[in-house]
Amino acid sequence: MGRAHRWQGCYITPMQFPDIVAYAVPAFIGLIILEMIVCRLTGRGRYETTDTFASLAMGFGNRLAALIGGGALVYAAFAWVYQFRLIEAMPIAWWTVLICFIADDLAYYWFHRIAHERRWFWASHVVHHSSQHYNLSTALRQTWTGKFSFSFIFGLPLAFVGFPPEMILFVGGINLVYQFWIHTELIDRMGPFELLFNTPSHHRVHHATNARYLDANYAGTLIIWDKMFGTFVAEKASEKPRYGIVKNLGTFNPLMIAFHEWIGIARDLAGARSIREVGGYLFGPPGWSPDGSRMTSAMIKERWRRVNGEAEVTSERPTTAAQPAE
Amino acid sequence: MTGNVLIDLVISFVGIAILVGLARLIFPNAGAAAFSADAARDRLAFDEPDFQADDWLVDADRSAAIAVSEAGDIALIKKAGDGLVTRRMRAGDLQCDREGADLRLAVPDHTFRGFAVHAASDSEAQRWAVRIAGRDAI
Repeated sequence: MGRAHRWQGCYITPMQFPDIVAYAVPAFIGLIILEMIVCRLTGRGRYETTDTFASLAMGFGNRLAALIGGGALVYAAFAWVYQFRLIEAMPIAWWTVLICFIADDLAYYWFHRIAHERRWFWASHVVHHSSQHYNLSTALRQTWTGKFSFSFIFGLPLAFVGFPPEMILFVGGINLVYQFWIHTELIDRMGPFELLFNTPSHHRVHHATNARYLDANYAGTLIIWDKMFGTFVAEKASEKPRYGIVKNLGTFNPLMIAFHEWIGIARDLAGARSIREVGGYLFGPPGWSPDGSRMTSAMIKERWRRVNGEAEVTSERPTTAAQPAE
Repeated sequence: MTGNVLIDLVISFVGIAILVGLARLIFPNAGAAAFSADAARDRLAFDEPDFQADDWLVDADRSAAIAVSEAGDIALIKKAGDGLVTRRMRAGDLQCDREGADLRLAVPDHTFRGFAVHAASDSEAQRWAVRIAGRDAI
């Protein structure tokens, strides 16, 4: 790329979109320390040493993965698609950045939803859900394999429209930084703010393994997408979220956290007896098995209804498709 | 790799060390929370609500428990950090080695390894080994 863009009357180079995540790292550290202290003083929320180490190691590995080629791969893909853009010269102005941010947030919603619904993408995203804790360090528990397993394809339509790759990466960084602070149990409900924006309450529901809360609240910054597409579930005061994944990990080894689902896929593929089974193991919902002996989240919800005798699990619109376990 | 990137990584690395140290300092006993039969039952009821436990073997020292259902399913519960982790298996899917009152189970799950439990007596361990293996009681 490298060409200059017009920014409100003057020309800037793409380099003027900063790596906002890198700038945010010191703030992340400071806020985690603050949260630890407040958790200790108030008794709300908790940290545990090995869990904290695992989360931070995953965050560190995520940055390393970007540096050793993941970031270049993403940029190259965006740049390649950008050659075929519909809008030849997208102005670089605050309002195009805003439009790009909203479009990216919508793309994020679908990436995130499919990352829960299809095992190929879940294999990377499961890392973020693998802690039984929900605190600011959990926000940094990120995948090492996401970029290499093409999770960025959901952002490619933005480049095709004509948003410069640098702008897409910039607004993606803003979205990621926004999502940091919502990983906390210290902030309760937030009134009217919750109508439009993703909040700690909304995201606690997303990280919960309670059957009532499964498959909900995929939003990045704007919660409106969940409300539009029928995946919004409100947190109930009577049902405290229990965090993690349906089959929690019995290890804090960062390598196992990063690759356990890929190992599971490889083992399943080694035993697959047909193309249908290969497809199911790769792109079926997490928990899919040919004989139904494992549990998808749809099966978990159904079991929950059966055991609890409730007609409906979710507090909003019920889900219909076989969906993810976490 | 630019200087800024290196600085970013160094800050991150130092940040991890500081944060893990602080977590240890501020929450010194977080991982040492007692494993109890009630906690194991609560976790199993949450993870496997249709598992009707017929019998329990709880080892508080090793923070592990085994439950068996009338249908012959086996549930394993063990401590991980300050949380509990469960796995549900069919009897016979587990390889069980007994040495006196100690039972060591080979679990066919790469995310749940190293399960050991201590029974109250050799005879109880023998009884559980038989149940885990999926054979009729001797």
